[in-house]
Amino acid sequence: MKRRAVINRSDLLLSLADVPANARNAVAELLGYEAQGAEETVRLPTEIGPGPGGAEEHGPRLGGRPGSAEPISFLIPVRASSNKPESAVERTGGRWLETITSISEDELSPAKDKSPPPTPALQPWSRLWPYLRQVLGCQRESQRLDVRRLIRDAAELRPIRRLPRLRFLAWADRACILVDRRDALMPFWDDATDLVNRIERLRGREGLDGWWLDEGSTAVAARRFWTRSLGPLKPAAGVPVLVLGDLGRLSRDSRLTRAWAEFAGHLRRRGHQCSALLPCPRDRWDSRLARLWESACWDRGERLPRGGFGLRPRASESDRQKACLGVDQLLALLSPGVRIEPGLLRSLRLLLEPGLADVGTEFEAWHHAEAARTPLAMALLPESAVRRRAVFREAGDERKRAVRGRIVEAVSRLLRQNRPCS
Amino acid sequence: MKLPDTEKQQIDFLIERARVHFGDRIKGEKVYREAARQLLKDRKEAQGLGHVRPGPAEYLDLLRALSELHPENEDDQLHALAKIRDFALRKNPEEPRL
Repeated sequence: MKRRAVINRSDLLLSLADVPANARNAVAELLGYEAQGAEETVRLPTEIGPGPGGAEEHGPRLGGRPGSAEPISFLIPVRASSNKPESAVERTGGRWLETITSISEDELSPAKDKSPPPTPALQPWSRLWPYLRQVLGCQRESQRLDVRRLIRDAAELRPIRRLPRLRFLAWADRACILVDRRDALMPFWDDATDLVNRIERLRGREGLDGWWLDEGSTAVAARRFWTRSLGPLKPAAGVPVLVLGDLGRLSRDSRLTRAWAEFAGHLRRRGHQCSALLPCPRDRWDSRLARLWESACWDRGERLPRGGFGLRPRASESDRQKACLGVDQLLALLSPGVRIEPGLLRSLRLLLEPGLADVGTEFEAWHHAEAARTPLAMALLPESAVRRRAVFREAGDERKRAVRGRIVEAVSRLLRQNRPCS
Repeated sequence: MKLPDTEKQQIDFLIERARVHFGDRIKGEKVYREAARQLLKDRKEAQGLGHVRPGPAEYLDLLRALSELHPENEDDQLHALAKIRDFALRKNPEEPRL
């Protein structure tokens, strides 16, 4: 028996008889038909020209409807754009990111048994310890007779009730060290801690009082250096006192400056010898404070005073432009780093000329408005980092190229030292 | 019944038999030819898709529908055929795309 065709165009004809034009395709699909050559009949309006008789000979058609020559509007994409803000990397061209070799997991994970490189000291220990023995020391009599004094007294017919002995400088029996541990001085925390530990090893802990001042002032409770316990800060009478801090001068905090001046007056009335080792350039010192605290500048190239006397403030040259230039150059050197610890900050600062970057430059870079800080490290804000990296990449003069070469060499050496597989 | 080999002969064959059935109800030669062309187009496509091919019976069904919808009006019959001219068989008629 012959099978009947499933497809029958007569059904299509009857079904479409009363169907509106926009529903014809749907009905036709139900019957097994579809509009043929829809793609071929649809053309862009610009491509449709008038027919020979003034009408469009092959106009676009919808639903395959013959004879319908109404123009149809089409949307044509001509431009692509986004309303998202352009990132800094895109603005400055991020192609260099594609060309560099990515950091491997091994390089990101330093060996646990290897500690980070030491922070370069503000001043060499060989220069520091004589100064420290002066400010924390006292004159003692030795066993040897002071013959010259004895002869002089005899020649002047003075009664000799006690044989004069030669005197020498020695550590005082008791000494007090105050460390300014406020957050603003975080780049110098390690320097102060290292210094106190070295003093302890040199003279012994007996009679040595170390104190941390978390708020940078003696008005609030202090913590003992070795036990971290809170306690009242009351140095015994006559004990030499040494401050490791800026006395509020780096941050130009008048409240702190006033508090330190009052504290020095109080100590001097009790017979204390007051000294201060300041990680602060001398042109920022306060002359009154420098008189109350026999001060020394804790920075490279600075002379440490002898004889227990302090230095005077340097006349302010008010060369603010030079200071800003130093900070800018230091930030440019720091810009390739994603995490900048105080050691790196110090190392790079020491690459700059002493007249351009001092310990104050270090402080200003750490607290720069274009940087973000944590208690452990700092980082430049992304946009600033990108901008300053461009400055860092600039060719510059021979000196700048030399500095850049030393940075690359130092970082390469660090990577080699800290790579676990090396 | 077997259709001839060439398309022209097939069309003539179909028209010849259709005239016997419809006589004056469908007068225009154009209507017969257009309906025959559409049927042969479906026939070719059905063969390619593996369906049963429509034949003279389906041709007569189509003409009957035309004569019922537009009796003795050649223009309306041609217009009705033009409406379905651009429809072709779907490859998967069991799955309407709705």
